[in-house]
Amino acid sequence: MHRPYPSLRLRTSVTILLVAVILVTLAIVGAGILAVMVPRVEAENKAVVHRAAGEIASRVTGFLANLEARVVLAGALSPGRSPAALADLLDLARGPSLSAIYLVDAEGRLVAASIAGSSAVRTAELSGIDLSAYPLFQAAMRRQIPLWSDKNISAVTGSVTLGLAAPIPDGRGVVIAELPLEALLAITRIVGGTGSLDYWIVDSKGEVVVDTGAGAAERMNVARAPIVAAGFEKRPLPETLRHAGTTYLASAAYAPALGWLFVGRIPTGLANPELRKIVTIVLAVFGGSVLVGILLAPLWAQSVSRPIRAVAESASRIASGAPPQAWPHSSIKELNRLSADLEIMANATARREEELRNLNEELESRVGRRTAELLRSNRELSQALATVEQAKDELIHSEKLAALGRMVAGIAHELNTPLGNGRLAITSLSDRLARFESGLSEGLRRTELDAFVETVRSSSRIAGQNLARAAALVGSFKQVAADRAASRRRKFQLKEVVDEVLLTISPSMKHLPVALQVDVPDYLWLDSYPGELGQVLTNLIENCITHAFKGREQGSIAIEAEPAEPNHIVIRLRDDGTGMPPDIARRAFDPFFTTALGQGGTGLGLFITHNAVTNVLAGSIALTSRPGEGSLFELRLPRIAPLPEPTEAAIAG
Amino acid sequence: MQIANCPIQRSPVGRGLWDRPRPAVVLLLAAILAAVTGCDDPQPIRIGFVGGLSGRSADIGEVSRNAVQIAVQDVNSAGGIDGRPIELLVRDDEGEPQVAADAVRALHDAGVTAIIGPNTSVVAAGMLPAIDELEVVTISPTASSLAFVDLDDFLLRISWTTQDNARIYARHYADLRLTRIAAAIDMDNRVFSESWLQEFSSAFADLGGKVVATDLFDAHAARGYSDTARRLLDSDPEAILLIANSVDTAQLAQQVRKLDGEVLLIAAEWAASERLLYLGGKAIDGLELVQSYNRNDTSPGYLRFRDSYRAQFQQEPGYSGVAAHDAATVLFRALQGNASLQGPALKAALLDLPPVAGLQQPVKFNRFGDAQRRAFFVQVRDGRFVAE
Repeated sequence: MHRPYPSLRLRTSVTILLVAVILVTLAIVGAGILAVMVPRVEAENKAVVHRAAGEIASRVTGFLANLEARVVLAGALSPGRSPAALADLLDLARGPSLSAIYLVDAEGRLVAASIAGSSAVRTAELSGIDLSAYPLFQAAMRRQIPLWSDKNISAVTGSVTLGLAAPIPDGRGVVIAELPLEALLAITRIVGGTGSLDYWIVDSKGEVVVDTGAGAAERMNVARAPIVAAGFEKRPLPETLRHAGTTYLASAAYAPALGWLFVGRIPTGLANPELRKIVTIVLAVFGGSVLVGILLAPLWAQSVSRPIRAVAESASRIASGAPPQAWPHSSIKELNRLSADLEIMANATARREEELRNLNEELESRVGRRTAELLRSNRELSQALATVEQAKDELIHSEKLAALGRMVAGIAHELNTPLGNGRLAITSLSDRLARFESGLSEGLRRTELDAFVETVRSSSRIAGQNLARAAALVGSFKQVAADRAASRRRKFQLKEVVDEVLLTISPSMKHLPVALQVDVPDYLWLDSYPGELGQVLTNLIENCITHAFKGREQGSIAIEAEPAEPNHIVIRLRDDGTGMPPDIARRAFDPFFTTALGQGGTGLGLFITHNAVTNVLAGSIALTSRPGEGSLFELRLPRIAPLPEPTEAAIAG
Repeated sequence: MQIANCPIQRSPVGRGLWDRPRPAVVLLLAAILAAVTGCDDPQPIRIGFVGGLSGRSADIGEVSRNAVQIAVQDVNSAGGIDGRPIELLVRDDEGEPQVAADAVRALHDAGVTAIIGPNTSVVAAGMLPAIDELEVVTISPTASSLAFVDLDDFLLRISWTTQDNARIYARHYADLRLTRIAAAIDMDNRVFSESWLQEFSSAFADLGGKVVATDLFDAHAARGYSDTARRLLDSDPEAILLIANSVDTAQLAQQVRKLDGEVLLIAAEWAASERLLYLGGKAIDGLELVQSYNRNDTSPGYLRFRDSYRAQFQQEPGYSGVAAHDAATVLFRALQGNASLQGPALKAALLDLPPVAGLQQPVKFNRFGDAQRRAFFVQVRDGRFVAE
């Protein structure tokens, strides 16, 4: 998971950056300086050390050779001198650097002495003491050459000194001189120079006779130090010397005349003052720079971050919607440009905002106006719609009245014929009866009686026949009317309904040159609404008669029916009339669409038909027509009409 | 430079140099410092040595230092103590109490675990306040003044006391039927020499003898050794007892012999170094003294020590060498298995040690940190110490 970085203030960030830059730079520079300087100083030291041991050995040896020459000379001059002259000679030979010089005869008896800082009594009492066991005396007597001792306890003072035994010629004894270690140390320091270079003078037993370094108080035996052992044994010298926890670059030179080893050494690493100085300077510069950096970086960071912060604050003000202030200016070019650009941007934004606001207000008022207009037109439309609905209802009502009127006219016309025939027969019968009665008074003849009876018979037969026909008509009307009014559902024979419709419609067709051909099989039964079906067929035939044969001499209408699957029947009503163009055919079932406006057409006939087929009979009606090729209405009806909706049933009931 | 050989100890934090800038800088600096300073082996155990390496007692001091150096070399070549090498820091006390006290402080600052030394009682007395103040366990091979006896301090001693010694001398010469003894005592080490003489006088008196003359001499005084010799001889003694270091004993013997060839010369054990033989010449022929070790010992341990001492330093080890080696041995034994002991804990460990085998005799401290040594009478004959 990513932890979000803590966000820092610009000033802190710049401060850290500056300090880090200082640190890294100085660390690299410091490391570079050390990397260059440390090996260089080490190399220089190595060269210095390499030279130093030989130089100090030759210089100290030279100095001691001078002393030796003096002591040898004193020895050579001593024989035959009086005790007083001998004392003077020894005092002279002792000089400032020797601590004691004394003359020992061949038997090891001390003859005369000169001792620095000693009392006359002390000096005098030494004469005659036996030094025959003194190793230095023994060695000088044996070898008859001047010998320098190792670190040696003085035979006359008890101090630790370096002894020189110089034989007196002709085996007459030995002159012994003693050089204090301090004197040798002083000489070594003088000839060895200053600096971090230090010396050991190591005697043949490995005792440190002189140590110019801080370890003067350590009187070590260093015989086992590798460089000392190697120096005495003339083996190749190791380059370093480890002593008392410090590592030194070292070299050694053996002085055969003395039997001593001169060891020069310079501490390596931080123990070396020069290196320590370099490291200290590097660290001091580092520390000082860090300090300066820590003190100055926040100020600098402050001055850098102030204009940026000011710009940021101005931007924040604009972002929070406050009015812009004066844009800050600083000594940084990019910041000034940023500031200027932000100002331009802020102004442009403000301007655009203003324009948008104006535009918005205008848009709002326009929308308000439009909305009001729309509301008004909606209201007007609603009113118009209501008016149209009302008109439609009225029209439907008037169409129904018109249809009723037409039916009544048809019925009247239909009844008129049999009733008129019957009346005519009755009237002619009563005329015949009146003439018969008058003839009876004048005498009646047989022929006359037979003619009268024949007349009565034929007249009553005619009257009876016509009355029966009228009664049949009335019965059938009654049937149709009752069905139409009640939309009663029942099971019926299709042919029966078609015949009744034709019967009803035949009076209006009597004067028309239209032939009706009916091909409806007997076996087609339906469980549906015969009244509605009859109405539908009536309307379709009337529509045909009204429109299809305009300007035609004659025409025919064919009605046929056949079963159709599943459980449907199809009724086709075809004419060979003028047909309809497509735009009329498409709108034929629309309400109030008529091509016979002003000629008694309401435009509702086919609309009612369509409604009855689809709503009551639950079937469908389709119209196929082309101009000049007649029209075909095809009804497709279920054999068993679905039950009406309960509400409708309630209304119907 | 040693950079190449040094495994730079890497800090456990920060695997990469540039993971984060600040650890990188630290690492860089650490690397630089490590490169410049070099890197050390296991922390050594630092042991101090304080002894007279210049001045009139330089002989026994040097021998002690050499013996301790051999002991250290032996331990280091055997792998050190618990894997830590021993580093010996040597300080010359110049025979001066104040110099020695300063040396104790310097060694303490250098972090020494313990100090071996000094050789003389006067120096030990000068060191004692610093030793007890800093609680630096200090084992003296040879300091024997009664002033240190039965003190529960941080100064432990290997050698006998002046009382033990003086009584041995008194009984010895009483047995030899000596009754008149004159004594020269060293003013430079009065803590030792006066104590020694006092114990001797009372013990000798108890046995029927008498110290007929005493002379407190000062080696630096103008009057010289001959004056002391004359004063002592004036009391007509049967023997002259010299309670001084080897140099002064030789000088006094020389002056006595110039005046009197017969009188028996006796030296306190302090003088019993090889240097006495070099400086005394014929004057010390017949001189008698006690040594705390058997120079004719043939035990393998002693011979091994003596041979390596001779090989390395081209001289005889001497009594101060044997005692100093024993001091080192007992100290290293106490540190064995607990190399970081210091101060009171180290002292307690030393006192609790069972007897530790020294070169010639076992070392066992009593509850005051004092041990006992055996005494061997020797005589100088023809420039050599000869057991009686």
